[in-house]
Amino acid sequence: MSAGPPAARSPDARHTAPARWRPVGAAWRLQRWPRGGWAVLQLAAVLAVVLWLGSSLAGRLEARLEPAGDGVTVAWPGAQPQAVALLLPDAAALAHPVTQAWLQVAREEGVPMQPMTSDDFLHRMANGQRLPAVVVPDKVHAVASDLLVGQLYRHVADGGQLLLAFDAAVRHPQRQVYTPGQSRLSSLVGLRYALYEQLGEDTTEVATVQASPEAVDLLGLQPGKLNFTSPDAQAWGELATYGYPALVYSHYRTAALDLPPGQSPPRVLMRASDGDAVLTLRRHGRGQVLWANLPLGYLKTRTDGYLLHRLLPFLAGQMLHWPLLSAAPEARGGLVLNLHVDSNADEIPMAALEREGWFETGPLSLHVTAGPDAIRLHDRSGLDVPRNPRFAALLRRLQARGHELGSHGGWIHNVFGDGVHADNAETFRPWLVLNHEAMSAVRGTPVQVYSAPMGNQPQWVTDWLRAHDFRAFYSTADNGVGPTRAFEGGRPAPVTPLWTFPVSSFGRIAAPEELPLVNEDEQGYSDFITALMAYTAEQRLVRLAYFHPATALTFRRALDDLARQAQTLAASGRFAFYRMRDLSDFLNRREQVRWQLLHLPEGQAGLHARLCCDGSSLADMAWLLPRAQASHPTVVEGQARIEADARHWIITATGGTTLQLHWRQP
Amino acid sequence: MKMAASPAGLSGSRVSRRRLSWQAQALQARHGAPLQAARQALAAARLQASASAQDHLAHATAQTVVPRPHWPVLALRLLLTAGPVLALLAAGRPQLMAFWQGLLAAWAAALQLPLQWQTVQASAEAGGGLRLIASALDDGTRLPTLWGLGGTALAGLLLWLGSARLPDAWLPLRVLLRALLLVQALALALVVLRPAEFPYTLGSHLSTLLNLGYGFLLAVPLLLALGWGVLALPLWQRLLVPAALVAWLAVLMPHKALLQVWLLAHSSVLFMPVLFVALGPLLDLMVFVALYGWLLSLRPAQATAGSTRAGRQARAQVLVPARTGNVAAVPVRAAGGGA
Repeated sequence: MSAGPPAARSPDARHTAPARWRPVGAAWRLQRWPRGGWAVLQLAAVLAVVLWLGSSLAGRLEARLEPAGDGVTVAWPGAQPQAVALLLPDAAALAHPVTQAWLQVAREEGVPMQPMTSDDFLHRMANGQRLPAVVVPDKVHAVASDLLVGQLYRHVADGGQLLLAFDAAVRHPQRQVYTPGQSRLSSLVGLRYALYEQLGEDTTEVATVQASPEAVDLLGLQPGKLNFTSPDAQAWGELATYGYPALVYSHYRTAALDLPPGQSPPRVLMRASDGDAVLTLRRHGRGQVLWANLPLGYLKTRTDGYLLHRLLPFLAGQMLHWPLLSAAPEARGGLVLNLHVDSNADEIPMAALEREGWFETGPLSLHVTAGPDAIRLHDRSGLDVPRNPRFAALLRRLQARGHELGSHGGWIHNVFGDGVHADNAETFRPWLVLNHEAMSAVRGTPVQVYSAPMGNQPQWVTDWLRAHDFRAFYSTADNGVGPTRAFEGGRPAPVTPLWTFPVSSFGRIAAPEELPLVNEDEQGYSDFITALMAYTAEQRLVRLAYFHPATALTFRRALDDLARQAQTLAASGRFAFYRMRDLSDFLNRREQVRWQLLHLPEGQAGLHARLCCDGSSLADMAWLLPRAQASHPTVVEGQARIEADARHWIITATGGTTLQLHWRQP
Repeated sequence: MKMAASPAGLSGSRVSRRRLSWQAQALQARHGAPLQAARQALAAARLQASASAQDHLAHATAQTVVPRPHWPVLALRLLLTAGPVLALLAAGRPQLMAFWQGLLAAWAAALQLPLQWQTVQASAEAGGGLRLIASALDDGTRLPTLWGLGGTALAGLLLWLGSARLPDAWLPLRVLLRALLLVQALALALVVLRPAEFPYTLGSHLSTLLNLGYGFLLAVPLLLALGWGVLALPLWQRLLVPAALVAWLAVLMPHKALLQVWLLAHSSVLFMPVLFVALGPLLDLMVFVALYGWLLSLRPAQATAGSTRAGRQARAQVLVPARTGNVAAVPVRAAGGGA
């Protein structure tokens, strides 16, 4: 206290002291109370603040962000997360489409991923909670403090894995501009980039992207996704997509970095045609850094998610040796073979294929344009299914064989495909309804799968499909990806039973009749489609390919090769044809699975899965556990079948609603 | 002051107009002198009082105000005080940065601090010039643990409450302590709530301190020139003192910054703001103020005189008596202030 009570003063002082200090019995005590009370108030206020800060911090360490809205998380909160941490600047960034793209792709690829604010990451680092892997996404986390960047260095040096995307942490928070000289993460990546001081407006460049043979192997890039202009086996292939002569990407210009002796240079897995590194992998300390010089998340929001879909499984499966929840039933790879039946030119070839038993292959997904015309109004070149009992009977026979019937656009193939756009829903919606009704009449129940003529599908068509209980549709978006929820107008698609089935292409073409566009012959297509099937079997993935039966007789040899390959692969139990509706149902069921990795004592690890919501059973859900880092798993709880291939333990749930496995790590 | 007696026996220099009037009336009343005579006496007294008052004013002015030298002389003094050191600092910046780098590298190695440094040419947008930056981001910057945060909060709380027990005579210490505790509390809140927003690492903190320090070194000769430099000083002092002061600070600054970094490397960034306040540029300024005061106390006796003829006369005739206190012997008009 700054002044003592009046009693301690001289007698004279009593008379000169302020009135409130006069010791007049109870009044003195009352007047003195506020002074002691003030100290108590101070103490209480400070304690309250300390407690609030402490509880806030403890809460941050225990809980993590949950994806907003009705999105589904793969894992649920736990004290020791064994998930890839998706670093966000704050909780508000969770709603950013790019964030949602990263989380969605992780879910679809079966990678456990948790959004985490940078603040939480720093607190964990401070308290010695090492995270196995951190992703710093593009666009969302361009701004980062030196402190955060420094802790990313430490995370990797201590053995963590790090995936950096494009502009992650390139800007300084104080002025939100590029950091001087180069990106602060250049020493971690092993290359100089974000050279704004040096290059100004030329800091980024647009070019095609090439993948090395090593990248094809490591990332599991599929046949047809790369264009090889050289027959050299060591040649780099250029990333391609359906319908575009060249696929160009924006990337940072890069330059060599003088690394200290003993530090390893980055392995360039992908590069731009101008020579800049686009995807690198580098060891730093005890960890590794995977740097993608492409806006992966942004590309996903703009319906080009192929690289993101390949990089996340690589991070979790090969860098972390974690199990992945397969997107295929029983982790059996396969093909959705989608036949687009556009006009009456398809009728005779289909009949021939049926006669010759080709339709024993399958089940296939047959989508038909059912109107009387095909190319122009009143040209009478359509199948006219309602008044074509012969073809309707053929369709019913094929359906009876197990093939799936679907709707291919709106009644008149080319008129609908060429004419439909965002603003003429009123004109073309009746055509969509006509086709749907015609095909539903043949099927006996409403058809639930769809493909757009010429790949032209405005948003209102997707909304119409969603409103009419469709479950899947063919798409030219997200070329080469398995079934996904493609972004719509840069926003995440609503979580409904409707799934997008992107087409896998053979370079810039997809169907055999397009071969002349790329100067390829039938053998080229045959090689592509059989390689794609082998790829799906080996990678245990599902992809969609399509063709028009009208050209079946022209490319009959390729179709026979396809059928033979299917038989061969199916015999090994690693391949199946899938119907779109079946796969969609499986994926909707898969979304009800919550699972997490367990960090157990004595070198053990585990996996715990359960069903949420109204999920019926875990049956057919399968996890791929890398054998190199795990002993034979033991089922601790639930029912599962455990098999092995050259690279994985395949753990397939056979029923029940919970499953727990343990295994030992070397 | 010795005054000639007025007919009414009044001391002119201290007589106000109002008092004279009152005294004239009193004389008339006391001695019955004719009013006209009283008025004449009063007028004479006024005249005397006026002259005395002017003399007094002139004397007072001569004691405290030294005639300013002409502006070319002042400009020359400013130039000689600040110019050489500023030129040396500007031209020798690379050498100074290299010296600091070498010093820091040696200390960092000895203290096992993972610091690496480089000097870069800053962009025109960033103000240009050379800039010392940290090149290693993994520089050992530590964040506080949960225990560290709690312990700091508790210690801060106890210190705050304990400061209330300090006697009144220690009020300045209490104010200073509480100010530092408030800074610490803000740092604590930032680190708990938004650690990712914490803008500095050890490296960037050190480089900030040193770059600020360089800016301060540039200010030192100017501050000296504008204060101490206007005095009439020997040329060797004018040249050597600023250089010595800057040199001393140039050695002090990196060591002071290094001390902060060493403390932070062994604690956490939680204490960076309070160390910045306590041992940062504010301390540099206080060091400068202390040195400046010391310099002024050492100034030569004649240093406050001008260089003009009037100034030299003032030095000879005004200041010497002023120092001895023999005011009455001063021929006040020699200062040129009386009329």
